[in-house]
Amino acid sequence: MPLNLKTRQPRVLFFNKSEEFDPEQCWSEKEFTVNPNEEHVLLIASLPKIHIMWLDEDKQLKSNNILQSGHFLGYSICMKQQDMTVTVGKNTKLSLLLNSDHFYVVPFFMDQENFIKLYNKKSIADTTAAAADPAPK
Amino acid sequence: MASPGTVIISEMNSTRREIWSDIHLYTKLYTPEDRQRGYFDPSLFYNTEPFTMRFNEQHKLLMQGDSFDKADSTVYRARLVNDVLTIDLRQKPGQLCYAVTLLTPNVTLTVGPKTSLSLLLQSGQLHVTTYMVTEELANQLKQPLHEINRVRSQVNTVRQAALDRPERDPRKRKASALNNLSTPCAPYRPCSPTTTPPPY
Repeated sequence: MPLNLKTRQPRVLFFNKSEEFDPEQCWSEKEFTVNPNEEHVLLIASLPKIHIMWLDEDKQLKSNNILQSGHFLGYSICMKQQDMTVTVGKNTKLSLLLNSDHFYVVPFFMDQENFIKLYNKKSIADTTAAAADPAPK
Repeated sequence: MASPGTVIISEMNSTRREIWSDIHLYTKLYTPEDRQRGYFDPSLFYNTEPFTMRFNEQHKLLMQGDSFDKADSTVYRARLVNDVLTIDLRQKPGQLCYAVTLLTPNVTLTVGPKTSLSLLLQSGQLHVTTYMVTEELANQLKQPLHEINRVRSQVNTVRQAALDRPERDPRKRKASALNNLSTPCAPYRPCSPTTTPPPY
């Protein structure tokens, strides 16, 4: 069993190499391990924004400003089984992970401000690596 | 007309002056080996009816099917609360859909029936915007097409009934009347005194 991490929600970056969102074209930034007691947040970088469409009072279709604001897509995953862990290697397809049937998967969208905050949060792998190997002075 | 599963790009020979938009429904295709995937995969969704796009048009692509199928394109609203991701599962989730417009002015794009959504999105000819809509709005957007399908279904039912009972089909009555011209007719009797009898 790997070290039981204290952070409950490690975030993991996936890079989208297609113009449109395609889980077959999203690749993990680095290796990570999902333990039973964790909820991992998978963020997809370099993905086109998602916009909200609604009907106004006059029954006209409206959407937010395409050039300015937007929302971003992500996935929250948790282990289904409590007696095992899953280690995902670097450059692994998002589709392989989501399709592995080992996780409860909840797709979510969030606004740009929240997404950037989450994006800029250091991943647990970065924090652990920095603590174990401090930069030489 | 494009063959099933194809996207054809051709030189534009006509245009609509007004801004025009249309909605196309995509249905998930199952194969016996296929199992439920844990993510939305555009390559599994196919259009049922062919359509043609011109430059000044916006076409919206929506997913349809059972709730089981639609769950693929369902996403939940989330936000950070004290730096912790919180997904609001109590609010009704949204559905992903696409609005597409042509990038090049002088071409039309014809999409054949049963063409995968991913093929269309990756054709390189489209400006694609991803949208989130509520289920209610999705249903409202789909409504006109449902109405068209309902009317089409009624027309088909009437047509089939007419084919099954030719004596009730006015076109067949006319045809049978024309066929009977060679047979001797009954003598003409005017039913109204104002009607001039035809010359013998």
